Amino acid sequence: MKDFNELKQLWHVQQENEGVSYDAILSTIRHTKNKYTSKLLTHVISIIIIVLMTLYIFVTVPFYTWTTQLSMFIVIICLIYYMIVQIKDYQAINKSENLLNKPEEYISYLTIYKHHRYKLNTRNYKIYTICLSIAIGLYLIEMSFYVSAIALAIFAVATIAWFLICYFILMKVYIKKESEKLEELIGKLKNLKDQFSG
Amino acid sequence: MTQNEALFKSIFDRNNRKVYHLCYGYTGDSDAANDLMQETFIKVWQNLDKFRNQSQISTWIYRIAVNTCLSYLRVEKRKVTDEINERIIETKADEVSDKQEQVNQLYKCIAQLEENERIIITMVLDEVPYQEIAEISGISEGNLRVKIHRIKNKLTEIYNRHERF
Repeated sequence: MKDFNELKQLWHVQQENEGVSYDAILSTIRHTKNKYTSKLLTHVISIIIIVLMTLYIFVTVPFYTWTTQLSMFIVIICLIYYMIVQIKDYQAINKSENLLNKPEEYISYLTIYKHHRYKLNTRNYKIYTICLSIAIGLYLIEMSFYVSAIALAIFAVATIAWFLICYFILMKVYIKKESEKLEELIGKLKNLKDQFSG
Repeated sequence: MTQNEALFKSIFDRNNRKVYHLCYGYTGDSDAANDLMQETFIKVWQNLDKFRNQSQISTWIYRIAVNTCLSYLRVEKRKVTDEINERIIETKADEVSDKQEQVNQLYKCIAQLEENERIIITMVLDEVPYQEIAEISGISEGNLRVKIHRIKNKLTEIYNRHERF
């Protein structure tokens, strides 16, 4: 039988942890920073190249109808929006003022953040798919000037089928999975919040 | 070494032991504790500019460590393979002293407490002043004293129950 003071004495004889050194942390920081910077740079450069290419096509190719330009514009907006959201989100979670808050406030912040991610991964993804469908639909008008009616019909049916599969099967499964994950997280966070506010 | 690196090194040297204890107490797993400790100090580095306006450094570090632990929700499985872990445990098993085994047992008992209890008792064991624990955990000092009394009894009881077997 031990009393609490004996447990306290035991606590103070524990070995030093040598698992993580100062140098290892600094090297991880540099590595992560470089990795993130290069990933971000790749993202930005890819988007810029796509935007420039689209602009070039926009100006030089004589399209039959303005709907093609509109479809290009929609795709570009979607890409830029996606990139901005990802960057902002990454910055928010990594360099957050909330880290220095009291645990109860931090848990509230985490709960909001998880809800935000859920919305981003489900509702915004839905909007993104709809915008892309509209863009492809608009491009089909342009295609009708170049290809035969049968080829156009096959392309249109295949595209519609793909979007229906995405919307009614893949997205439903994805949203269900995300929703279950969120429920589990929120349950745990609620439990933590009760502990700190109680 | 830059000025920031020098400041970071001094913060790390003075606090890494306590942060590790807190993370180990919270997770009950030394590998996870090392991961969380590393994550804590990465966040410390990222927020160094905010520290310059703070007076009490340990409170600041503890806040980051506690919040980092709270974000650890065990939803995703750890990336380190069990096979590697088992091998490490086997190699280390013979070297572990009797006392250290009791310490490991103590950590396992702490892991059976509720999350906020784990955080509070680890700080009590590390002799952090009650006023500072109250400040870190956002609980009033009066409420904290009651909680500490209850957690001490609970932990002692769990430990003694395990020691009997």
